[in-house]
Amino acid sequence: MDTNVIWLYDLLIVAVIFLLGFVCLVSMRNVIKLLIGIEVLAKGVSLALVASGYVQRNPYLMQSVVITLIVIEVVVVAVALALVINLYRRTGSLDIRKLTKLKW
Amino acid sequence: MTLHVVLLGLLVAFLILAVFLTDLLKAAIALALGSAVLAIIFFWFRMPYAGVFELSVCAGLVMVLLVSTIGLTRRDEPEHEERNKSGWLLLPILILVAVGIIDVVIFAFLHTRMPLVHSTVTTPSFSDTLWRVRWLDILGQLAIILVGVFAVLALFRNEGGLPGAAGERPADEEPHGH
Repeated sequence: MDTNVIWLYDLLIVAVIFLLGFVCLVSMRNVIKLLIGIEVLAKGVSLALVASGYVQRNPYLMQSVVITLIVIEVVVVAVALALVINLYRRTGSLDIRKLTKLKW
Repeated sequence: MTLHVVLLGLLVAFLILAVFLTDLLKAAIALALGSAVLAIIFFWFRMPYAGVFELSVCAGLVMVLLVSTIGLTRRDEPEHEERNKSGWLLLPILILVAVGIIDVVIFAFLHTRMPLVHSTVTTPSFSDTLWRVRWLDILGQLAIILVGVFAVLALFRNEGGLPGAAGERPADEEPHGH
């Protein structure tokens, strides 16, 4: 299969994935759903990087960048989930609209 | 080609499920399945190290973290998610518009300027790339992991131990019987 065609397909799918992530971030109220939206965006970035590495025939570089991205993604999710648990303990809810005050 | 298109379709389908399922547990499982499909795509691209990381960390560890948090917080939590009805109607239109714009941009302007497929400067192996070329990334990863560990410890420093037992009710109980 032509690598440029693969790149086109992947760009289209990356756009759809990005749109999904943004729709999730904008329309959802549950903080865990917002985290899932961030994860979806990260999946789009990973796919774009890997497809670019495949087209450029430089897979090792892109693999190392993707691994760095995955590590950052996991740390962000871990810290955010700790925040979510604290939020639930303080407010009893996962609704983002209840975070209208900065002090608990 | 067929396998690649099928994998991309599966990836989008699982991510749509992850975003729009109202049950958080099912949404987390759908996200993990999407990560697994993405890992298969990485293998298809002949990038096994990234695939292994995606499969073990994103489909495994993140799923465990999400399911643990859902288990800690789902008691008495209403499952319904309020949505704007117009948002549901707007989504397919938005997708069509985005795909159309990208299609036009790619084929009108970028098609002749795509990355050239020729031999670029490559290092002999993955380990050389990771440990010698991208060694600063390793330092950054270590720093971020340390920051994450300290952040989680700081967030739970008043809890007297591990983040509470499942079903612990917020704000109205003493933390762990002190």
